[in-house]
Amino acid sequence: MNHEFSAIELDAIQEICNIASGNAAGALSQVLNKRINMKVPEIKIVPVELATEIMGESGAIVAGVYSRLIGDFNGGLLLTFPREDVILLVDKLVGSPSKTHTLSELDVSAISEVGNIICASFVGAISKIINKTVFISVPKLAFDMLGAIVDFILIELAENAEQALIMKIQFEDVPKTISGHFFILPNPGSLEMLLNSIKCRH
Amino acid sequence: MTETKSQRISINIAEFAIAKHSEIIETQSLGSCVGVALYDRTTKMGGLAHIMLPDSKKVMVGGKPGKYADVAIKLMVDKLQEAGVNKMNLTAKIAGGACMFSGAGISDFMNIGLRNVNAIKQILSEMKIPLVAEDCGANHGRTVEFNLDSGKMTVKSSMASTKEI
Repeated sequence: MNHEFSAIELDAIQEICNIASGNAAGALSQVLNKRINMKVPEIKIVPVELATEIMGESGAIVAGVYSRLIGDFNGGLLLTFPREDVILLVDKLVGSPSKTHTLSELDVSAISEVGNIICASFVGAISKIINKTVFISVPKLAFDMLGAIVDFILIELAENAEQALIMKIQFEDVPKTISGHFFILPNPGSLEMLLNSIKCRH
Repeated sequence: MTETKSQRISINIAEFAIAKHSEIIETQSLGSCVGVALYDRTTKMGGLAHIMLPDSKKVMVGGKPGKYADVAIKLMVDKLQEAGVNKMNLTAKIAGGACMFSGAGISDFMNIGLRNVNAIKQILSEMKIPLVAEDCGANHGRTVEFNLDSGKMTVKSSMASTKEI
């Protein structure tokens, strides 16, 4: 069912996501042993067909970490970073600047792990705030064209989902600002559930 | 006669287009989607579809007809026949159908790329359109260019080198 979201509802979702991203930043700070700030400067709810367009060039190479959300909130969660940014992040994690364009096995594993930490702490925070149970599956990593990654997820879930929640996220000082996107594809009813839980709190 | 630059037609997910000699149809970023090209060598006409799902009959919701293999291929053949193509002359080339997140726990049933490719092969064989070339599967995305002059399909990928099929 399509539902137009009011500015107040969007504000409420953004607020929750900001708190959740603070949680994720905290987890990432521990891994990097350095204070990291994370922001959600932009949040949008759009029809699924427009998702790729908002996240960037369809042909751009990105790293995508994908998990399924299961529980009271059902759907899919994708975290993407542009190629250059993910290389910066990996350099910081693995500690040696990569001179080549290809990622080693260690790099790939490091990205998956960071993706896992960010996604799990983000989802954990949201489920705590709305007081619902949300489980997150083991994330899978793809390093490919943005359009191809989003297509795959749309196909897996698009038979149900009509609207997608897209958040721009920024990590500051890693050493420079790294920006990526959270792309949440809720099953029908899950987005309404989220909003209702927010309303109940107020 | 002056040589004109070939015209490019871009199609998005769940769309298809037909074109003629000197034109190029392209579609970006096929993941588990499949690009199906039909070509008639004698008239140099053909079409390309960016197909998302195998079967329109299994889903309740609507959407663009180009989304489903069974509907899109049939529609494309109809349009080509309207434009004067003899169905007997058509050949097919397909690319895409990857499994973007390979490895951990994706069964064949969940592997929609593979299901797409299988459905398309079945539909083509039922329609007696020979499949002459394919570049499917693996775990990488593909961008496809279909040149109506040569009938060749150029497949670019982020991982593998560019192929011409």
